[in-house]
Amino acid sequence: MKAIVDHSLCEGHAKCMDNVPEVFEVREDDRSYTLLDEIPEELRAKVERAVQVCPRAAISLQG
Amino acid sequence: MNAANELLTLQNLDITDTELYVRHGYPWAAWDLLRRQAPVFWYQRPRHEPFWAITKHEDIGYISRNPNLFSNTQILRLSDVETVRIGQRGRVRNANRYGGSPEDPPDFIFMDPPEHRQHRGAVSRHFTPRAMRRLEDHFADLADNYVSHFASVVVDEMTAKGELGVVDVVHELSAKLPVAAICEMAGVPEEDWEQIFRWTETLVGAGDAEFRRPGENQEQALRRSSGEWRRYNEDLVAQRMKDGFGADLLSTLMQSEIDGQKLTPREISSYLTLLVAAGNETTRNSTTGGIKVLLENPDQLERLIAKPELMPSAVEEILRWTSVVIQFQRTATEDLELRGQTIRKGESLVMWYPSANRDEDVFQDPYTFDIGRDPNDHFAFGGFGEHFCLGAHLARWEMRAIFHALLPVLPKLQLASEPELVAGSLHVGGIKRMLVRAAG
Repeated sequence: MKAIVDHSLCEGHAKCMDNVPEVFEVREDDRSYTLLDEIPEELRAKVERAVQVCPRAAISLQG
Repeated sequence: MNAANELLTLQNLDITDTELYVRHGYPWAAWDLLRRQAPVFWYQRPRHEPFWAITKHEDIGYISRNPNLFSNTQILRLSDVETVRIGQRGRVRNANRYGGSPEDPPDFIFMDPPEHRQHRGAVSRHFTPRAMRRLEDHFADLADNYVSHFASVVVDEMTAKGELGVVDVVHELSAKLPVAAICEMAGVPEEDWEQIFRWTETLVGAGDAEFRRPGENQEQALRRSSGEWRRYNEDLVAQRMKDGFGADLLSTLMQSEIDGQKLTPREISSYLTLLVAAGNETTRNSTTGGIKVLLENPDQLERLIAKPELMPSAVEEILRWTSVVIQFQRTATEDLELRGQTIRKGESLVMWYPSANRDEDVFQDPYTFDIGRDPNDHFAFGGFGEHFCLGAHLARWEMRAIFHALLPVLPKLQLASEPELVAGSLHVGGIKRMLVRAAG
């Protein structure tokens, strides 16, 4: 499973980083970046939660 | 319309009569019934264009995530037909005076992607958690000053008067930090904050005679205050040109380029007005509503005093509980199905946020005020997606600062009146007065 952040929507609310710091990092440009290409199975539930609570609905999952 | 002992039905419920809001508060029972029996309901009543009433959290979430299906460009807030006509006449007048077309978006909330992302993106960096952290210490000082004045002067004077002493928390406390914080961010000089506050009150509360001048009707009050505010903004822009740019929002707006084009003077003025008004008319009411619900739930207040680390979740619960923004409207861009109902291209949908915030499928015991509620995916800042409130972090930060400073003061207070709601607004549940007295 991959997580993709749409940078035309993301504006650094950082809910994803609060929920899964292992996977998401908000950088100086106020955009969230994924730290892992492939999301390990044990983080799936937390990443799905990050998708659900992103205020801009900017994160999507593939695979 | 509905006597207390008359059975509420889909046929007789009313969620649009602003006089009922003023008399009885939000129509919680009607929204509950809609969620249970007709969550996507074709609502037809006199004085309003018909619309689909959307009351479930899940459906509001779906609409908010799909701006391609549900457009902002047509009409954005449900109003009675007369208020809609006033708005249309205003657009025509502005187009005649300033150029452009009456169809032009009055501000960037009236845009869809991709335009919306570009215009909102011009200012969004001022509102991120990172931006808020830079302002944190300064704003904490502001909050402390307002609360300590309230506690040491206002509450003391009130207490000295004994039984007769009452204070209006809206004007003595709730109103102060929101206007100061957003005006400072925007780059509005302090001597003008009072005037700005009156304009925002009129723009939102023109349906209420208290916010109009004697002899003015709603349309005249709106025209006067928006005209005065526009001229003020134009002067501010001219002044900034002379003085040079700073780190404020106004300077950012003036320097922004979208597709190589600078914003027009009209865009700069309308975006500044949008941001200042939105920053002002929301947090004030959440703060007042938060004071009310904490005073009505002394167990929760004691819990927060004993565990101040619950402040962030307490603020989220106050936001859910007060649900200050009542609704926004969308227009379907194609024929589609929602919960088995066929919605035709061009039809209106109105998202009732307070209803989503009491949705029993999302919130356990939704009518219980619980400062430790977790998770708390409320829609007080709108549904998650394209148009989620840009100022959410600012509002959260202000409320944490105010309630943190207020905690030692609240146990000394009790409610002396029910909140008095601003008449005539179906968009913001404005509280114009709420009296407190010293706890007996």
